[in-house]
Amino acid sequence: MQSVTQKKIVRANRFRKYGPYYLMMLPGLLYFLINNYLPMPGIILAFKKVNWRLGIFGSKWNGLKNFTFLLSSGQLATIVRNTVLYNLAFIVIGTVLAIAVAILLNEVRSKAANRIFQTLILLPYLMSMVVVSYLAYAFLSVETGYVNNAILPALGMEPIRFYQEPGYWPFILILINTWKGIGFTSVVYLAAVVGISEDLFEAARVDGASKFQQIFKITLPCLKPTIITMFILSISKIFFSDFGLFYQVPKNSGILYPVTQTIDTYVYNALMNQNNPGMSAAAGLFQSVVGCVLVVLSNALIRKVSREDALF
Amino acid sequence: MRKQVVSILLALALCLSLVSVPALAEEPDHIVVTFLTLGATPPDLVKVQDKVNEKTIPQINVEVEFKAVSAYDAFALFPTWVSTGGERIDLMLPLLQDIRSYVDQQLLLPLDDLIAENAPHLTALMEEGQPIVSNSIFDGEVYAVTTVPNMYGQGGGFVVGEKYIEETGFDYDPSRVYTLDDLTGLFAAIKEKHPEMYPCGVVTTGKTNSEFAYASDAIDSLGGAPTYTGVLMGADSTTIVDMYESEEYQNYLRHLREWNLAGYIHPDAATMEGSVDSLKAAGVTAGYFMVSAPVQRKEGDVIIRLSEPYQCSAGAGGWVIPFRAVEPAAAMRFLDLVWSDSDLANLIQWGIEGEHYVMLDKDTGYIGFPEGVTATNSGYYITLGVWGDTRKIYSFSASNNQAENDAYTEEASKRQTQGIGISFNMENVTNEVAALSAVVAQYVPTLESGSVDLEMYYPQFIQALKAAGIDTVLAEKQAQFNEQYQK
Repeated sequence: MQSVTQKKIVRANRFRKYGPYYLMMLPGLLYFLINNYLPMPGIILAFKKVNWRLGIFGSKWNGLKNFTFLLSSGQLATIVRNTVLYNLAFIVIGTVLAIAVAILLNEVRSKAANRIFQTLILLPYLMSMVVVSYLAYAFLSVETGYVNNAILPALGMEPIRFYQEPGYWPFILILINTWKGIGFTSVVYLAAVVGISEDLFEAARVDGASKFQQIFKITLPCLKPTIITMFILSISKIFFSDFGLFYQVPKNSGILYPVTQTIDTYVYNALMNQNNPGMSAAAGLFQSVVGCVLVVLSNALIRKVSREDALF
Repeated sequence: MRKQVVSILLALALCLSLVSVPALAEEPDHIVVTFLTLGATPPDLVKVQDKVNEKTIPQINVEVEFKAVSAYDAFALFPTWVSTGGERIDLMLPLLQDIRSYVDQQLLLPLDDLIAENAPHLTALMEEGQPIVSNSIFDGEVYAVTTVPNMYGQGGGFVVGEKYIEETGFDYDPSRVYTLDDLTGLFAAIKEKHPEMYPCGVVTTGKTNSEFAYASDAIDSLGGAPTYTGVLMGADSTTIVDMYESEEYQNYLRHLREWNLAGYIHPDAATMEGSVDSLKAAGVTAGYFMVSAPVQRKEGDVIIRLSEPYQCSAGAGGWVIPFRAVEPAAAMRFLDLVWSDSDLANLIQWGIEGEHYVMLDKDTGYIGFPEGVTATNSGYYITLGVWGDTRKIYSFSASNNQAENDAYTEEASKRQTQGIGISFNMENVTNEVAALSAVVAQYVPTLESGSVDLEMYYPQFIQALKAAGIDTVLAEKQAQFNEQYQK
């Protein structure tokens, strides 16, 4: 009898304690429910030959026919390779640089300077990819581009037709993506760096640790959980690509496709004129399933290596 | 006092309701019609809509509501509107969209019965032999009604400013057929006079198909299918071929490459923004490849012919009625009235006379802007000609008139391709077509801007077409052609 009332009190206490958090979670939860879970039955479209008069569920089944176009193109290997390799490059380079920037920002003692640097680094992240594509074009075009009209002539070099030369684009795309994204990720890491207890550094200083030793022995190990979470989040997107980056920035120039075409841009180019919801749904489902499998696999790997850092 | 007021009001209301009872019984059918724009909605659209309703309500008891939508946005909006029923539409124009995909998903109503019951004028036009529905018949049913053409025919051409012809002393004859080498001479002469110009206007940014047809003799891809699915080359041909492998196409590419290297084509032609005619208007280029029909000629231009005019099969397209339409019969009555009443068609096309345009020559239908009105400040200036009988639509240009159009049609009718009346159903080769379209989008814009080395990229292009299954598509198309050609 007594225990029951005790339980009730515990429950009431718990609610008083955590209630506000649940409330804060509600809008996000609702967003996911409406935006991500409600449309889930729509993936059935990937297996249908759509007939709108019969509706999505009434349409005839189409087997796996909607999927075969991805395979029949003969380009699957190239586009998968591009998507995965670029994402890996973005993950590695982006993480390393973002952590470096976060640590550097943390060392800036002047508050005003810190604010200014953070804002300046974050600014490109807030820009639309379309705007970025024009900035890139202002640098790279033959007739009016800054590189071809100012930099190369000054060095005594011939103009380069960037939009017809595939060789330069892996570097250009990685540069642009890093420049654009680093502001956001470095702020995430900065929050973690700021959260590291000052006592640890003080103790290290007393023991005579150099700045580098502090970074490698204290900051980085403390950042490990954040790095792993960010890594798994990025892995889940490894089969998706930033459409703007790969379509707008290279101006959809065909000759560059061997190094710029990703799954998303290929699907767009192939299906834009087809008005075929079945095939489009099939491509999306394929990307999601592979992404899901990769998340489970990478989490399993992390669990093997260091159990306490795995997400689930 | 208050009671009195109330009773007066009541009496008044009674009177009003008595008066309006007959009108209520005859309440007009309300239809929603898409109104395509090139981006901005004309400010006076509602004013014109009221004028339209002044005609349609008494005549056919239909009240029209125009729903303005940009023609570019329409590609993405229309399929979702009509599939999900998110917007009410009774009559719409999926301009340049693939009608077949709408039909395959059963998004449209078949129109045969609706035309027979509601559209005597359309029926008369069809009996006259006007091709307003003949290109949009799928599985024996009509699905779209298009404008009555003011001209029927096409041919390769190069539009160029007349002043450049005069400056360079180019030997110009409107009916002579010139070669690409003749153009090389013209470009060289223009470049010499204007070293800062790029005489040959080519912009291939974002192109998803070839522009070879503007520079070649008769090409027929059967019912408006993409040319990469195979074409008939020449007016007498009955063989479906891959035009990209032809000697003529290679010759075309070699010229483009030569012009690009010589500085006759803009170095950023494959990536720059802007249309060929805006570049020409800005004086960056001197001309561009285009169909040789007289309507393509603007004030101060001439067209250099690159082939004899010809007639070929045309693509499906036109006004359609979605399967969710609330008033399909009223929509058809409206279509019928616009197609028969040229005053109404001109009202929708050019706005209100005296306010948006003034008549300059009644006989040729030549109109101009009223005092103080220009194309940019006019409350109603839409250049998409998508309404009614275009032979009777007025023109803002003195240089085009119907007599010239008729002469061109007459000339073209003497050379008809073998593909007329034949269409291609891509259903069995959907995967190959999707793959081919990706290959074409990859190579054609760069190759046709002349900006890369042909030795290296042309063989790659042909190889990629083979890998994407061009031979399967050609065989399927040839089989469908043979079957329909026999009939």
